[in-house]
Amino acid sequence: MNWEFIYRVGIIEAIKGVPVSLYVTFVSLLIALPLGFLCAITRFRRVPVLSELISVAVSFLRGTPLVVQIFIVYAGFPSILNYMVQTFNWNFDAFSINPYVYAFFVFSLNVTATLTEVFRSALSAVGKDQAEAARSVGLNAFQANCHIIIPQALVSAIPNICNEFLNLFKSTSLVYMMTIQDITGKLRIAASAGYNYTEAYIVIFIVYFLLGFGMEKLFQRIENNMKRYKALPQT
Amino acid sequence: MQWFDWNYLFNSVPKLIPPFFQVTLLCVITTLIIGSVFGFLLALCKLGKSRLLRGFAYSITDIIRSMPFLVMLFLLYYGLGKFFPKLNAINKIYFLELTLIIFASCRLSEIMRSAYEAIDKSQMEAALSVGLSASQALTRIVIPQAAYIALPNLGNLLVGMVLETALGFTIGIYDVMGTAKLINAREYGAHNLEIYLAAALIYWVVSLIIAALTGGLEKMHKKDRRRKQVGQSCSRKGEAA
Repeated sequence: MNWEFIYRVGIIEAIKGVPVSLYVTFVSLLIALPLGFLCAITRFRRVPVLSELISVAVSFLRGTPLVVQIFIVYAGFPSILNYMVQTFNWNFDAFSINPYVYAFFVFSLNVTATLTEVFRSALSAVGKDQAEAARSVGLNAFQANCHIIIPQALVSAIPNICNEFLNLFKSTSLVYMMTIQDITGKLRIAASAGYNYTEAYIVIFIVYFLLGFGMEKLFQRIENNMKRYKALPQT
Repeated sequence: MQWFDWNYLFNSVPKLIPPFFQVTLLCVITTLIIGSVFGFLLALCKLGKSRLLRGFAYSITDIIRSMPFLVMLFLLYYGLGKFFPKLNAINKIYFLELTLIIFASCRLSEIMRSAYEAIDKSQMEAALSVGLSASQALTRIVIPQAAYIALPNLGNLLVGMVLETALGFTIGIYDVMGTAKLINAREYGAHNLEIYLAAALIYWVVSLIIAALTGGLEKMHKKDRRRKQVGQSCSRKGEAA
């Protein structure tokens, strides 16, 4: 064991990498939350063609590995773009797109697929009587949705959203394949100088454990706070 | 120059199917068998009375759950090879299987625990009161009911495991993804979109099949149960008349 590598290089590189991982996680989630909600409503309302399209896309995104999706987008997309650039004579270099763009694209699409299912189950958990009761006291459809149904659905979706956030944070360790230097990427580069891979991965292990465990405890606290707003079990 | 070659896509699917059966499916099945043994032991620890064992099982699950699969795989691959140099000679697939087993046993233990807790206590008490022994009550009354509750989670776990084996290519295993990368490299990335789409297609079909199987089993069970209930109520009515 090369202890010197761990505390001289490893910890510093890991701390430098943490913001990158969190950045990718947060941006992808911020893109995915509204998108997933819209998709869920489309599915829930059974909008004729869109609903089927979304369900196929969700099944594809959830049924294929994230690595394969990364390679499709990161390796396949530039060649299509390059072909388009050549045919239409655009003044644009297809291979100079920032890898972060690809990362946001892949991760936000992947999370959107999961969140669509989460929101859909949350919406169907609210129960039809709530909507009927809201309409019967004189709210219009829009008001009933905004004041009665969506708040209740969001409360029941929060544990799943937190879970998805943790999963996303863990899967951002794959972004090093797109040359983005997150925790894993930074330490892999540092380790390759002296073949200190074991030490590097022990540092990554500890960093992910601390962050993941801390977030899990934080989310548990949020969920406990949210329980106040939950509807009482119907008797 | 053609931007997308459909023929290439469909021709490369058959090339990727043998590695699926030889590597991915084999990995998943062995993992499921070994992982369910360890998962059962962990679930026993979690449900048992010993505080020490319970704490141990829960903390292990917490640690594993906060780990990315990739990091665990690399840690075992480089770490075990460093401390036990003899292991460098064995097939790399064992490292992937070991990682899968570690993750699967934690997840399976959680699935088993939640399914066991979902069964009402009165079932166990009723079984004991009609004279079954504790082990009989478990194997004949509680576990069959718990198995059906666990079914959807089990399906998700299986799909998740199939998808996670795709990361095996990072340590040089030629599964579906690894073979796709190999073919792609051999052709200097001329058809990289098609070959990765072909790999995605295989994974997609497999996960659809798993979802259909577990969904079908669930539906069968529900129908079976409804028929039994209807039968019971009919016989009861007959008695009353």
